[in-house]
Amino acid sequence: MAAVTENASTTKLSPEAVQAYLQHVLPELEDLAVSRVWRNVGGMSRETWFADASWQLNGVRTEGRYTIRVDHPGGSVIPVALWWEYRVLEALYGSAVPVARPVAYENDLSWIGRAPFYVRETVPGTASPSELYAPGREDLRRDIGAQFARLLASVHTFEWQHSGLTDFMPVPTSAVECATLELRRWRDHYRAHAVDPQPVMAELFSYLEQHPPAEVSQISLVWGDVGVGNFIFDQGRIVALTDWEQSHLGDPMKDWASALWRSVDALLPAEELFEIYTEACGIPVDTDAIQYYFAFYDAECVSTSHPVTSQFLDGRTAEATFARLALGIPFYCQDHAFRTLGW
Amino acid sequence: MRPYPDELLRSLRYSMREVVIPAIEEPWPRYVAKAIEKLLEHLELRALHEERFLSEDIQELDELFEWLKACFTEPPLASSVTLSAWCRLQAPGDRGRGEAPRGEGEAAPQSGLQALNEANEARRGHLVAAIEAMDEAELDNALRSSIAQCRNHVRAYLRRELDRDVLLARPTFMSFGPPVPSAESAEP
Repeated sequence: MAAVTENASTTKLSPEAVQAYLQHVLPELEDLAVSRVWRNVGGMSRETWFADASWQLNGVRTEGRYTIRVDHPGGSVIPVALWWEYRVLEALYGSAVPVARPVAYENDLSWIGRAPFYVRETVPGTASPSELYAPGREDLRRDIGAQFARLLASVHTFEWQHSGLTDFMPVPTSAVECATLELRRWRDHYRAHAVDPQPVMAELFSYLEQHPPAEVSQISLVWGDVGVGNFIFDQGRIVALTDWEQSHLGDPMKDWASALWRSVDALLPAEELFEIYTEACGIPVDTDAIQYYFAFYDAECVSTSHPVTSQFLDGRTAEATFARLALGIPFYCQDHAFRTLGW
Repeated sequence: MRPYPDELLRSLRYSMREVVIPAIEEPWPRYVAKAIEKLLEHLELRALHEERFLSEDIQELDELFEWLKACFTEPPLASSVTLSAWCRLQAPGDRGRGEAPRGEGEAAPQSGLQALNEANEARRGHLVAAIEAMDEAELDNALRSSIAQCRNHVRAYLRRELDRDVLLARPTFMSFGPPVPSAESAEP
């Protein structure tokens, strides 16, 4: 086992430590070497790191990249343990829903100085919004938009009943529970981490509790954090869906709210997206439910931002990126939720 | 002392934007530097508006509490135990406008801005208590339409509060959509 050069309070991962761990979990890759470990930009729920590696395969030096997901040094900022998204990847890998191959989940702090963490293969491509929004790429955007709608249909028709997901995901027993089960989780998380009294959030949660959609077309796997920036595309094709930490079982319309919140209608007009989606999976689009879940998603994001704020305030992190998120996310989302509800 | 803090902030932000950020090639440090530049812009706005916004907000909250108290003590809402209980709470404004409630042994505020922030926070807590009291009172169907009127009044205030907050926080916003002048891309 390689010596750990950073302690748990630092944010850097040592290439030597990562190399030793990858060789441990991938013994079939001969003479594995890690040349670079670097942190992905953006993201709030967890840190994402990339490790550039090479190894011998049938006498040929082969290169590849692995992704490491780990909670922030100050702890998780979402009410979902890291293993949750790993188990979702395990359930989905090999299905019609494209995800990166999960490699290993690790609880041992001594490997890289941080734990728990998990490793997955990095799917070649980019999630970069600016690649999509570059001038002259209208055809790419339309094509990616159509693919996105069909893949969301695949997520929502995924047979979760026989996938192992019900071992850890609560199953709603009614249409109303599709919203309220998740709402309770996020409201409790919000209350546990709120750093100051926020009447805007009190009023928003009050509304959400009193107005859950009374009907759902079916209970589906809900991706949770959907949209531009959370799928990887390569050479004009979407090759992987990412960011499964907010996944759960519930109303598929919640994903449309998240997707539109994250601007998928800048790829293709919403009406066209809905048409492609319904044609692919038969699930009708309920725009009233989407309106409700817009505000729900805003409340979810604000709830996620509070642990970010408290980690900044109590000194667990001094990173400027945390300070920016602590300001940018809650006020943007509160404003967006109020406008959505016509307040 | 010159330069004033707002003048210094303007200078720091200019230097970050024009000199430091363009020279950073590594993605994560560049992302951090852009966050710093956005926070400096936010601080400039705070230096300019925060004290006035807090004073406005405190005044509006005190007026809102008076309005709510009047509603909650008239029929039919006067019949609600939870609303009556809220009315019996001492509103932060009753201790003197701009003066924050302090716990035993808690240090006195060190500046006018700190005092305003504490006073504002105490009032926001009082409004949260009012909203929670309305949630409970609303379980009585006979009170629903009267509560709805109160909520509309509360939401109108919250809209104004958000407008003030958003003006200060806007530089820190991110967008996943096509580039627009008022929001920076989520990317570095």
